[in-house]
Amino acid sequence: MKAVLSLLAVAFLVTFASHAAAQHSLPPVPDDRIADYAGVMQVDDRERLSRELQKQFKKNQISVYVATFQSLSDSDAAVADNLRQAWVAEPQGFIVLYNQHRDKLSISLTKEVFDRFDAAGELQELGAQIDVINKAGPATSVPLTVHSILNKLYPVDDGSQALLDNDARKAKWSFIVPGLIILAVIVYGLRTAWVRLKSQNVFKRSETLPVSSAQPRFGSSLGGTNFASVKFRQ
Amino acid sequence: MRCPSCLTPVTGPVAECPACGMSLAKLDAKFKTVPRHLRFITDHVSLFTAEDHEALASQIEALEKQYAGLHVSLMTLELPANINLREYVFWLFNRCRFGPADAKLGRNYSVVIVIDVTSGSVFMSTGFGFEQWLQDEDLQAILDAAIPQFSKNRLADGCKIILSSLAAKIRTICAENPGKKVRTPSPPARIEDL
Repeated sequence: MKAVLSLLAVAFLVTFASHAAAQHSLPPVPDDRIADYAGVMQVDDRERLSRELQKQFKKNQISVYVATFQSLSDSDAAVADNLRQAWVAEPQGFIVLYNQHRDKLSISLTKEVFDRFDAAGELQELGAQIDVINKAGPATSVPLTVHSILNKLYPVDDGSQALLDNDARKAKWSFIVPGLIILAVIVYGLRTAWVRLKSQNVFKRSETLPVSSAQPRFGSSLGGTNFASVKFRQ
Repeated sequence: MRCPSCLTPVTGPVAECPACGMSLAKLDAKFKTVPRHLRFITDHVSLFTAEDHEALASQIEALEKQYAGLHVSLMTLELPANINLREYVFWLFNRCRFGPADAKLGRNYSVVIVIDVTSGSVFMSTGFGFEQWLQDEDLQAILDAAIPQFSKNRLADGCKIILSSLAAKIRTICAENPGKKVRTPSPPARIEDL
């Protein structure tokens, strides 16, 4: 049955415009640029990535979409190309597609982006990079792939804040948090030492007690005659 | 001032009490052995925890640093029952020499606090340097401030309050008598142990 359907599809594609046919079976353009049909992305990660993609679009007019599927009957590359043609209307853009069944990432770049990588001789490097990222698992690899491509197109040095991915932020905090803890410990230590020294009157000049007149009594030259007592147990 | 033994009021230098004949030499024969004592705190009956001991010692040290010549000693003892405690504290004060050797008469600013677990009492006495500044009623007021803690058997907390009250009282004395100089009279030759 599956084979028959495939044959029919092939016949249909051959008979009519393959591009138009593919578009008919494709999902609609996602509002937030992410179509997570496989449900592999965390809500927070998805929202963060979506914000970055929208920010990139406003800033650099680059249209990026992410799509994840549980499985695909067609080849991943073909679906990615179709999605790119259907969703990306701008000259600059790309699609990152994840097939959960095959556990594989596929990228489809617009011609302009492809040419930029090609001209810079970075296509192979990008492929190798994505192969490495691919092993990280979908939750991490999808945003990493997006960032990796965007990083090459718009390096962080150019001021693209969107390229600061979650890992970079974590790395930043990994320095700030211990630093703050160490600073707090130092401040606490200094404060404790200050309070202790102050309580011991280290910073105060010794006061002089008033001189007293006294005469020896009962054979004593020291004192002990003034006296008071209180009971703490009856 | 009063005789530590019979509480007869006494004015002027006397070798022994004109009423009961009490003198330091006679008390030597009565009490005999002087208990050993350490700087700041001598806890013979282990009333204080290590933390309390350290806290009290720090409080005393701070007080002594603030007032040159002041020596505060805290001692816990288990005295025999039915002893005249006022006599004993007078004798202890003079024989233990809590302050430096040259701190005599008006230069003796020692303060001794004694806790006796047998009678369940706390005593306080001062050197001649404080005689006119810390009268019996002043010392009583200082001890009374610690009664709430003592009644809960929190002896260390009570002692901390005593030290705080003492510090407050000395501060008042110094503020009310700035730079007051009083000549310390020479001791009479007839008293041998001077």
